[in-house]
Amino acid sequence: MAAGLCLWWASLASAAPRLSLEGDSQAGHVTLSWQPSEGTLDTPSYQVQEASSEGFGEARTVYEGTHTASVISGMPDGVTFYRVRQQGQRGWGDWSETASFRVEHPSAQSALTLFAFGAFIFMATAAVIVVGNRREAVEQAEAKGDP
Amino acid sequence: MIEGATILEASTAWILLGLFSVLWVALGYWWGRKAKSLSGFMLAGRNVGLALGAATAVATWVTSNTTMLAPQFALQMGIWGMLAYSTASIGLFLFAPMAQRIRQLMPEGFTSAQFVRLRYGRWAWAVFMGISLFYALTWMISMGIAGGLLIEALSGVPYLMGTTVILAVCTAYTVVGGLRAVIGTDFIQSLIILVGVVVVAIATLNAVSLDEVYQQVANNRPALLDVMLHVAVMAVFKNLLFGLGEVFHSNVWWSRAFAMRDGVGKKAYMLGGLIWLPIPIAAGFIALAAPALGINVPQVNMVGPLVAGELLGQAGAILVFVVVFSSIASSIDSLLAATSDLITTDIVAGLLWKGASEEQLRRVSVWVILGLGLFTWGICGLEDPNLATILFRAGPFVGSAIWPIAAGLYWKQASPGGAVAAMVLGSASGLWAYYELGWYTAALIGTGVSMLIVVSARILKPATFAWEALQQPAHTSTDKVSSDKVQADTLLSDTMLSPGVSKSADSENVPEKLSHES
Repeated sequence: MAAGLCLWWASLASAAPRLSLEGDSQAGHVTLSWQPSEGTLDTPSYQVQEASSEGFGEARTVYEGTHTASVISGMPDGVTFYRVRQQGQRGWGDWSETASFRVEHPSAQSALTLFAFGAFIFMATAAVIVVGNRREAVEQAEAKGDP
Repeated sequence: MIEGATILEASTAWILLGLFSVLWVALGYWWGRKAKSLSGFMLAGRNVGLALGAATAVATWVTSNTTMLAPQFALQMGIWGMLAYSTASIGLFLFAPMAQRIRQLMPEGFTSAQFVRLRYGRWAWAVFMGISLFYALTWMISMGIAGGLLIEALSGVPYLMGTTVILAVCTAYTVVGGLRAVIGTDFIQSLIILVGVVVVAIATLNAVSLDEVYQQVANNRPALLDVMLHVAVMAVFKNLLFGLGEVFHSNVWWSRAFAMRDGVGKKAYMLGGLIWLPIPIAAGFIALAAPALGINVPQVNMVGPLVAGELLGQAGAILVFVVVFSSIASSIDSLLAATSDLITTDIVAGLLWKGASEEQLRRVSVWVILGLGLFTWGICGLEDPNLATILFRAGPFVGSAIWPIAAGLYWKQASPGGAVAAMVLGSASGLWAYYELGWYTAALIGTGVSMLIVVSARILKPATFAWEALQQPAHTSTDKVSSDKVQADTLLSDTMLSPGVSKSADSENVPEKLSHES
């Protein structure tokens, strides 16, 4: 009980939202979602930042508003760091714990190999249908011409 | 429910649900009132014309996935993602000549499974039925779940309420009107969908120029414009082959090929593909414009509705809600009708109740539609979001059916053994690839293995099939078929049980004998 109270007090004091993320590291997109800090009464505003270093040296604001989630896509290879903070009556609160997301796109070789494989299967399938129909048309024409 | 995705008041949503529910059921009743015979109920009297044929192809292929997933593809994979989704139209283009061939080979046909049974025998039929039912049920369940989730996300109407309304309405008008009702409502629904997508796309273009969209994406997410975004390059043929597999094997498309008037199928599917093609591109553009419009996307599949709500206000929200309702309804009704046909003709009439008359089967069909609606509702009621994603695992299954179907329609030498092995091993290897290599390889591997087996079987142990065997009367009319023919039908199926036996004298002669008797 006492430990629970301490945790609640600590989260209220820092007033930082809880940030979580879920994404596809090969496709380079992530959905960030966050929960307001405990004890928040009204709908607060949030600010979400991303940076390529954990120190947020060249941070970029990717969202500012009242939503509690944001989709980020088209990310390059590498690790991107995110953090969020909420605005209350006393201004902006503390930043949340930093969350990171690593993107590792598949290699060009595997992408082009699968592309070529798919193209081959598709063309072969289309050929069966196109050639089959042409043959059928020829046979029908011959049948009509045959007394 | 993620905060920020709701664009419509729940009270407005209930009014719209009520109005359109009454409209669909009333129209279904009106169009379906003349569907007294079995083929009238199941296949709209085999008299569907070009306009209705093309409209039903468009409406059925515009699922909630098209209006929700196409923008998601664009948002996640950029230009290639948008184009990858639009390749699903190639399924309709390639099926167009197949529809004509199907109508010629089986003028009295009812289902895709009937074709497989007559073409390849019972083992292939059993495997094919497994694939077809798995696909149809998972598609239907995913649409039911998507309907509930989207209605909740758009308006706050509780999930179970939304799912219940959509499934109940679709089941009601399919029961009262059969395929006539499905195709008729599809026509109206396709018009609503097209108008909705065009209006939102025009509103987007008015609000932001193409240059601004390009600059915004190029500055902030340049990978989305990269023609070598690897994962998107991989998705192109994965998506295309998935689409081919869905169209080639599914009775949703076959039943329409049987239902269309002679000479209409090819044109209707080509026209349907042409009309469908720009829809995911327009929907994808709307998604790419979101950053330039300063719109945050809190939920990846909600980008389209959010842009519409932002640009068009309440009118846009209503439009999107109606488009979503229409796109889901137009798929669920088609699935109910086509799956009911499969169960009624291939399982009930073919296995369980061989002497059933057309009138009896007409009644069975109604009960099957009701049962399917209830079953889907029960599964959707479990509220397990993972169920909706099972459909994405169907890629290897439907991919493995592409070659047995295409070769079966055009190659006399395609053998029953090859077809069975292609579907079983293609599905297994595709499923293995899904888990071991990645989701983007599943349909490719499944289709590739299936193709290899079908081609190898043709070379190593070719069959000699007589096309006339496909013109046998369906099981559904066994009350009108002489006992000789029924016996011959059974004999034909039995000869096809063993791979490679169709080169034997029996299997070559039986179809020809049948055709003469017919």
